[in-house]
Amino acid sequence: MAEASSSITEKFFLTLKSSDGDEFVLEESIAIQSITIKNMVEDGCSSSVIPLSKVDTETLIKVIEYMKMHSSTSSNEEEIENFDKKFVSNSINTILNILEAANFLDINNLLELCAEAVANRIKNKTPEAVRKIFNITSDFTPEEEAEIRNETPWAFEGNLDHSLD
Amino acid sequence: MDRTSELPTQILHNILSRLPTKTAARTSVLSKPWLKACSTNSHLSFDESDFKRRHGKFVDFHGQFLRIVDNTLEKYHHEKIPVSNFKLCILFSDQTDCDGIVDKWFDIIAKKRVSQVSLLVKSISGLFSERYNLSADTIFSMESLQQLELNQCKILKLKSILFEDSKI
Repeated sequence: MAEASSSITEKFFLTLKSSDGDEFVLEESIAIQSITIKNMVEDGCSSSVIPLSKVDTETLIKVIEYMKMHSSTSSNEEEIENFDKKFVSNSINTILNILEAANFLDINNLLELCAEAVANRIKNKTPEAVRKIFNITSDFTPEEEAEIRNETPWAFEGNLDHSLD
Repeated sequence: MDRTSELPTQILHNILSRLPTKTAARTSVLSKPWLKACSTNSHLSFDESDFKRRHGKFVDFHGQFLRIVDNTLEKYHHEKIPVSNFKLCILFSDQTDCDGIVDKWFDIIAKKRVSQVSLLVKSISGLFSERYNLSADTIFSMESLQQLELNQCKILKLKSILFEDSKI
């Protein structure tokens, strides 16, 4: 995953280890977009491998892809915009995994991007459609659900979107 | 497996803060973690345009909207639920119909160390000269305020504001 450092200016590299045990070498300047990693570097943990026990390999690959594209030196605004658009078209489960990783790694832009993508899938939908899209099983009894609906009857009025888009 | 219900409540709050008022309220029936997130959401956002009905009268949906905001804030007040962001997009038809009630809501959130407040007012008549009256006292009482966004509001100076006070 990593490229050998052959440039003239000195670059520092970090090794990130996923919960599946895979290691990824990444330039420090790119990796510190994660405040969690930045804090670890400042605390002197960067000489060894940084274990990310809450992030699996598939998710970490996506997060690294995102951080590389968003590192200030290598990409222009239009490229970033197109990348972000394509990025949120990942499957909803992938987005949720990345969202949780972004929260743990404290990468604010990525967290915002994924939270917005999730919100867009919920907007104006019926609860039934939202449950199907996110594979949510209700843990309420029918009586409990009726009671909750009764507390905010106004929320269920009007034209709601039943589609699963 | 349901991934959303495993997410930390803080992330669910972030998602809720991006949803229209009605959609956000509807998520409370999805599952218990969503209900918990809805009832403790510190990002309160109420948009009256979400309540407009095609053939409905202004007085009807406006009254309903005021009641909903009022009930929610009373609940947050009595159950001591924190509020960090408060956004209110409200319509008004004349200066009198909701003056006072917004000040009451602002008093409630001022006590909650709110950091971001938006009050976006839209006049039903469309007259540009119409302004919503907000008292300066109310704004200065929000001690933790970092960001304030106002639209079509007039800030009224009231009795207890001392401009010679160096702290202001």
